[in-house]
Amino acid sequence: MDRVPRWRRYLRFWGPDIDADVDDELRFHLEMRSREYEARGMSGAEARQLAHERFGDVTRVGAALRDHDRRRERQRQRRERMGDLLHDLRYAVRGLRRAPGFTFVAVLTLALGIGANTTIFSVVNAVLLRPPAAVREPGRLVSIYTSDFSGPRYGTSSYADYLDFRKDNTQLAGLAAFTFRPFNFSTGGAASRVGGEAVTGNYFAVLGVTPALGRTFTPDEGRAPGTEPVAVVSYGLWQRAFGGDPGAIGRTIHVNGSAFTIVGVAPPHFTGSTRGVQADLWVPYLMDDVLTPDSDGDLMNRGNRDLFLIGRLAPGATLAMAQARFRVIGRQLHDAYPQFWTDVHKEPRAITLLAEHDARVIPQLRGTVVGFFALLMTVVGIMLLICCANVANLLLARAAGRQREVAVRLALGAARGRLVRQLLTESAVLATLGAIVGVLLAVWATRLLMAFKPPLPITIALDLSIDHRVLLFTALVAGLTGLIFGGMPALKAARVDLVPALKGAALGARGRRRPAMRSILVVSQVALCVVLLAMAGLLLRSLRAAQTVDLGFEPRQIALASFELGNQAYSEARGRAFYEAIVREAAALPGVRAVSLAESTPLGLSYNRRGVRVEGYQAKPGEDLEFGMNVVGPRYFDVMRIPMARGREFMAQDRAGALPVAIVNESFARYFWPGQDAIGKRIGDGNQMRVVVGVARDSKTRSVSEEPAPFYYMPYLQSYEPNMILEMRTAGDPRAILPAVRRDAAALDPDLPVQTGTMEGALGVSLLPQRAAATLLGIFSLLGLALAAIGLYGVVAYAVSQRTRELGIRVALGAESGDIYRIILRHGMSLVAGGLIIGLGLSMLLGRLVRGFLFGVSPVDPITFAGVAVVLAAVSLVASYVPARRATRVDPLVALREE
Amino acid sequence: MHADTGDLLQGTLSILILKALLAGPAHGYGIARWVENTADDVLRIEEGSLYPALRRLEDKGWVESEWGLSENNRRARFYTITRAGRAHLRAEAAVWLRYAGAVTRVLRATPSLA
Repeated sequence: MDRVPRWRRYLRFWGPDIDADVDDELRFHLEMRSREYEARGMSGAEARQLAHERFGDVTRVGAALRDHDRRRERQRQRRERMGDLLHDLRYAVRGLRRAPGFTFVAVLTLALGIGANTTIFSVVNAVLLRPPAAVREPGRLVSIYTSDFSGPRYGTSSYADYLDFRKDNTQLAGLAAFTFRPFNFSTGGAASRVGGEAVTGNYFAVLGVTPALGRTFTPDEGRAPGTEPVAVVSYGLWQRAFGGDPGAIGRTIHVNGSAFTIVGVAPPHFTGSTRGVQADLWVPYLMDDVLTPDSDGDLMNRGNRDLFLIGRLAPGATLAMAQARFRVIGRQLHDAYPQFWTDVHKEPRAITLLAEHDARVIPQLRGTVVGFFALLMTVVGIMLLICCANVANLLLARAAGRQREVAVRLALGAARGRLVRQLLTESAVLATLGAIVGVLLAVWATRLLMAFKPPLPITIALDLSIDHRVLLFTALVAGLTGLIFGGMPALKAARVDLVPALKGAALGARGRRRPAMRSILVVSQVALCVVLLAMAGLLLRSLRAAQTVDLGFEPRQIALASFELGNQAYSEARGRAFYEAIVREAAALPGVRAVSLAESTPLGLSYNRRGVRVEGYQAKPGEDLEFGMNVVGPRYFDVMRIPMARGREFMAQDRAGALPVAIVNESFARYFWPGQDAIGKRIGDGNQMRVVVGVARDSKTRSVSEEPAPFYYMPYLQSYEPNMILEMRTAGDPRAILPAVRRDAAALDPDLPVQTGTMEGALGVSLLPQRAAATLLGIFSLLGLALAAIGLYGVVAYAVSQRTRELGIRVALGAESGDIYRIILRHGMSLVAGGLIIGLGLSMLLGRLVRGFLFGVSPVDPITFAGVAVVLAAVSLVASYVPARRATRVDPLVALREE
Repeated sequence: MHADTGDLLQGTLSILILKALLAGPAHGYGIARWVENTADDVLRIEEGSLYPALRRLEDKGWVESEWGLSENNRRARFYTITRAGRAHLRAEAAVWLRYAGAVTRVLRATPSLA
């Protein structure tokens, strides 16, 4: 700064008035000149006239000078600001270096808060914000849905409809269809399960995905059903199964037991078109008949709706234009095929288009997902506020120590604004350091998250890596954080009263307001902490409730093994033989009490709904006669311990050829035959009527929170299904028999993939979101509690140190240590009480956020709230007890001499 | 009274200003007067270009300016030559003198085509 010319320093005091300065300078010149002429004997007017003439165009020169000076002034200010900033930065870094303990704790606290926010945001980013990888111009992609029979708008479409959608559609440059499929994949040895997609030939072209190797499908592949056994594998599968060998192209693989030729490898980050789920294999959709022998073999059946549609807008077309076009198509299809294009409400089905970025999460799930993220972001936001309060508290304590320094600088003429800026710079440096460490923490946390494999039958593919969106978010959060925790202390510090501070004077005089502010911080910390604890408590209680609720069956001690013979090209006869054998083998295992089969497990991921006919029952207009159902083997109700209310359960004699039978639950019986005996009534599926032989008690089928609903069961032996789950009631730990079951299955068919687990584990999957939320909230609320306890401790300890003299006098006057405890603890606990009341109030307001995740617990559950109060009170007592104990040790002589 | 070559080359104007300031701080009018007096009114500074020239010199760091009081107690902007300005003046003056000397020698020489 030495090079700044002297005149600039001059300007700084008056503030530069460029216009006046230029005028003054030129006017001075002209006046001097005319005075000179006057001295030579001219008249005043003449002299002025001549002076002007001699000078030339005063206006023009003046304007040029003003321009020049303004430009120079701007440069000067910029340089000065940069200089100030550099100076402040250097000052801040020096200050922080001198207090390594403070800096360490502050940065770590901030890093925790910022890291938690960054981590959660990177999940939100991966699910909702990130455009799909390896796809060209995703902004031009649209998802197209046909409304479901029962009404909801975002349903899948049929292949026949897809072909009609494509026909002379001027608004789309291309329209592709796909459906997600689990495939049994093998290169010759044992098969493994991979997720994949059956796609139309133009799928890769519409998405604009170029292969890493080989080619993708040609539009003709998948024109003629069942003729093109070609496959594209994912980059990851290519690496795993072929070690990245380029010779994999042209190799034969087995997909669901049929031979396919690999024609290409997808680009590295392409995961298919279902967000979050990894597709590893793509086959032409029209090969579906070959791949799934049990499919009804009618791809062209307009009622067979299992396709997701994805289109690319034609150049110049907009979403609205395409939507308008599809409204017309929908009407035409309704006119042409009224039986397929009319829904349960007798309304024509609707076609709905969504832009790619609105369709990243399946629309039906979007509300839940967004709600879940809103909850998580709120939680980490609160956590960050607690961290801010803690650091603000640290800064205030630090400011108290620096008051003298600030006062001296103010006395020497430093502007208060300048000081505030300097202190804020310190906060900004802290926030930046916190952000850097926080991002590192987030990198570590997201790696952990990505390594976590939930017990799901699919591979999760979420790119949680930190990208520019996440960094921008972190920068915003860090900036805001710096302002929040730094702003208040900075303003406070600059408002120092000079005289007492300079005299080094007493804590009492100037200290009055400071602890007040620190108390406010502690109260808000406690309040925020209460909110977190309350949310965590509610979720935990809800989990407990969900786990202890009467499910209507007994989930403990059931081992599961699922088989997908349908994907392995088993004929029905071979399948029946396999299941008969595996049931026999499993029943012979030691520790197995009873064995049965079921097509699905209750509260699992898959769920069956089928239409049913009830003899003698006339459906009311618009009444939906589709109900949840399961296909189960003999002794199913015994294995599951679902009691029979009436009649009997399925037995071995309910085999094909015997009297067709069915079992309904109590709700079903009440719905159709109120007040009558259900036994002997007849219900039908397809063309066959079945006699109801038993009424089972209601049990949970889809979710623990559902109300009892009609549900029915069909006997497996009379209604073969290729994909069944073996259920084994065990005497001990169900996991112990899983290896033996695998061995038995492998002995029957070594190529058959088996998935084993326990019923409790399968139920865990249905509670996964709640469990994840409860775990995260538990961690964050404990951290928050620790931070709040530290904050409280700091404030109480500070108060004790301030009141040393007063306490000394009290002790000198005969106060007992009990009295001292009471004084100090009352102070601490009054802060906690304030925070508790505010926090509980806030929790009631925020209850709405968690309500969707609660089961069997009210969002204002008094037991939870009381528990939070007790926990908090206990922790706070400890936090204030430690400084209180120090207070009782005050030696009156020392205390009184201190000042 | 004044030379027909009154349009001074810009570089020349710079040297004259710097030279004028060697005596001490001066305002723009003072600089102009000094040059006129010293050159017996042969050189006449174009006043419209004097002030822009001063700004340029300031930008280059050869002069500094400061507001002060004039001899008749008026507020005036005073210019001071800097150390860099003196160095520049020395160098430029040497070039100029060599140039002028050469021109003079040529003009005084007897024409003869050797």
